[in-house]
Amino acid sequence: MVTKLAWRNLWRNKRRTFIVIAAIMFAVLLSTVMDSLQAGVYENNIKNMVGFYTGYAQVHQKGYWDDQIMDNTFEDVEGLKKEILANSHVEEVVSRLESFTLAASRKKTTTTQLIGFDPEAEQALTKLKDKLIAGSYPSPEDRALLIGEGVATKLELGIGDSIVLMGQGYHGVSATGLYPIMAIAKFGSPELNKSVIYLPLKEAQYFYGAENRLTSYALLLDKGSAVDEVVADLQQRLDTHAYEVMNWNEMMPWLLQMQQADAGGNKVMMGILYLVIGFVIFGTLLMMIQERQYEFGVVMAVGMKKRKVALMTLIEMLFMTLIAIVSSFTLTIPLLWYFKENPIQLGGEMEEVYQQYGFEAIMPASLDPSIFYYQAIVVFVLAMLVYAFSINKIFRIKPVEAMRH
Amino acid sequence: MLLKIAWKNIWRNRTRSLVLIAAVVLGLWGGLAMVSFSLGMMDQRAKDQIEKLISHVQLHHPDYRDERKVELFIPDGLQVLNEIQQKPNIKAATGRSLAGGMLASPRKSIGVMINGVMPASEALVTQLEGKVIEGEYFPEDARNPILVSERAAKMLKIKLRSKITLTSQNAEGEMVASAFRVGGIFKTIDAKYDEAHVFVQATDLQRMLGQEGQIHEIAILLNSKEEVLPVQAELAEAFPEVQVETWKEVSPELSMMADSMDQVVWIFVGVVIIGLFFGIINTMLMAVLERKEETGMLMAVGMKRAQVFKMIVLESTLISLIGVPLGIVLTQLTVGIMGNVGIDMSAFSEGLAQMGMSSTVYPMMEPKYYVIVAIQVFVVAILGSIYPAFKAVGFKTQYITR
Repeated sequence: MVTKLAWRNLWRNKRRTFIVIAAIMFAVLLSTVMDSLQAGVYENNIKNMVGFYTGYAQVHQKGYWDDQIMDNTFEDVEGLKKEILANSHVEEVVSRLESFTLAASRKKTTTTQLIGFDPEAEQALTKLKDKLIAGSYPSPEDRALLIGEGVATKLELGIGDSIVLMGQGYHGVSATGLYPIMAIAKFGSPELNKSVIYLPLKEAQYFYGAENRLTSYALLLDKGSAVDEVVADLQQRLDTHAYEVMNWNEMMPWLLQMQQADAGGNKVMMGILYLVIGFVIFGTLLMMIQERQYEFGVVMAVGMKKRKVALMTLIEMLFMTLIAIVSSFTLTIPLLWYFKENPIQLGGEMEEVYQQYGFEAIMPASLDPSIFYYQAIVVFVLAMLVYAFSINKIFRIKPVEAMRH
Repeated sequence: MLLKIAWKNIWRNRTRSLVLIAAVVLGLWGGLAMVSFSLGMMDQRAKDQIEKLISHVQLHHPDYRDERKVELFIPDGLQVLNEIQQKPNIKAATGRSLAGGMLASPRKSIGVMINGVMPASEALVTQLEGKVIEGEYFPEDARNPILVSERAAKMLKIKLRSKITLTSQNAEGEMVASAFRVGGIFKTIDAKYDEAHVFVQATDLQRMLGQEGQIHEIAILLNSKEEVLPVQAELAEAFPEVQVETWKEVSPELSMMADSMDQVVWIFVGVVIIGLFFGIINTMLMAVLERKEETGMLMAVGMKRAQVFKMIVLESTLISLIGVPLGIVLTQLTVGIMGNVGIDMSAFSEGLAQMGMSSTVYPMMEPKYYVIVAIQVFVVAILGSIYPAFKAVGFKTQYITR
């Protein structure tokens, strides 16, 4: 009965109902957009960071990550790679053999990270070829180096010059070699730029005396959000006594920490937004009740209990909130999809610095479904809270005075 | 005349007008609170980094930062340092000898930047002593003591009193090596920094490099960030052959972080302002619809449509004229109080304290933001009344007065 009355009330004054619904809809829209942009920035940062080098996940010999020495390498058996590729989210497995090595020219010496790499697979993950500023990209058979721009400057060498490499190989053998530089690349991260030297995998294995051995498989996934699933799956299927499967957040804990540091700030921002949109809903409700004073006065005068009137408005509110939340998705999803495809461009000085670091200066939206659910629930609770605040106006109505309006 | 009607209209329905005024106040407050909070957060981060790692101003040989060669020390460095330390506007200053090299234990070697520091003044500038979590900070009687990070110690499998070897290249390009004993283990706010830095006494490193009394870097801590530019200008003039750089130049990442926060915050402020915009359209529309009859009556007795339109826009303008100053006062109160008390973020973001970062944010404000956000709110309040005003003008006179 009361429900029926409430439902009819809604459509008696359509314009008023639409205004309230619009206020709530807009609240969902704004909070979802804000949350989605905040999340989108992180997703993008992670994508950029893992694309620099590590990949979303890596597989190593067990114990390698804590103790990165040549003796903690594993054999590159065909079955292992197949097993990893069996997971449908894994698009490419990038083999690497890397260690610290001294690099010397005639006059200078510097410490570098020598990475034995698979040129094709590496291109798929880190787009190494696109970073070349001189020379040509090595093929798997080449016995020549691709070096960071910073290494070239430090050693005062260019294309065609040779570098002496000295390091420690597998089982403690001393590794030395002389290689020509065939390519120079500029990396976004200054750290990489001044320390990396790439050598095709086969030659690197020969250099380290580590025939057919690898330090890591870096995994290229079809989407970043699948990483937990992939890691769990591989931990199940690979022999975890022999191998370790690591998530990017274990390899780069500081990246996650930085996000956690920001998370608090974002929550405060969301809190401020909730205050503002909560008030918009509150204002709308308050005016709605005020406008309906006469009507409430009449129904009370003919014997409807105040509690019943309040219940009726509560049901009206529930209807309106639910309609608003459901219909808001028809607005937010296309809007966010648009912002994901056409991210907000950050301009000015920041764009330059971002690009210098190899980051894209954009603010894309995230389409993570949990954002929609979460914000819908928050706004629902917010609307109900606000309703609870405005309800006491109904209890204070004196029917006789109200009808005089 | 119109103004008078608009003013009277506002006070005829107090609840509605108060709701509108409160919306303006809250919208302005919300936008400004976001700005002040993020300014406070940026300042806190920069302060952490400056006071614990990079200092306000750094001096080098003009080519040192690009080439990092050991022969590029500051000419008469110790004398320059001494003169700087005498200056009254400087809180603390210290000198460092620097060299890239390898840190080797019997098990493994890693590439590091060797920082030769002056223990007493270094403690004043970067609080290095406070970062030692195990062992001692350069005890006087120790021979060749070295501080390594917790992370490096783990990688090299070394502990207190372990003997390790540092290898580097001297000015002549020869490899030089020296044995050091781990005197302490440190941990800073930056894990990546930790991995790549070790600390020894400047005199020990200088002896190893054969460069007695030469320093590559002078780091200066000032009393506040505002003094950075004047001090930079003063020092650049006093020591023309030395490169004087501010923290922003030394660490572009840090200023990038600040800039990126800035733009992102404006986008969020935009979201709040849109919220306010919608709130005003909504409320004004309701107000207009409620007053159908009244508006119709006004037009029936000869008020022109343009005048009705103006009247409604004027109402909104007056409301924001009341709301904006109130909002500014409210913001000033909030920032004034929270800026002193601080907002404890540890409940929201775990890990801050573990990272050694301050978890309390002190919101702060710059006058220009008041102006910018106030103008935005004002404009939005007026724009928000335009659609309802069109609606009001569109009512058919006879229909309404029927």
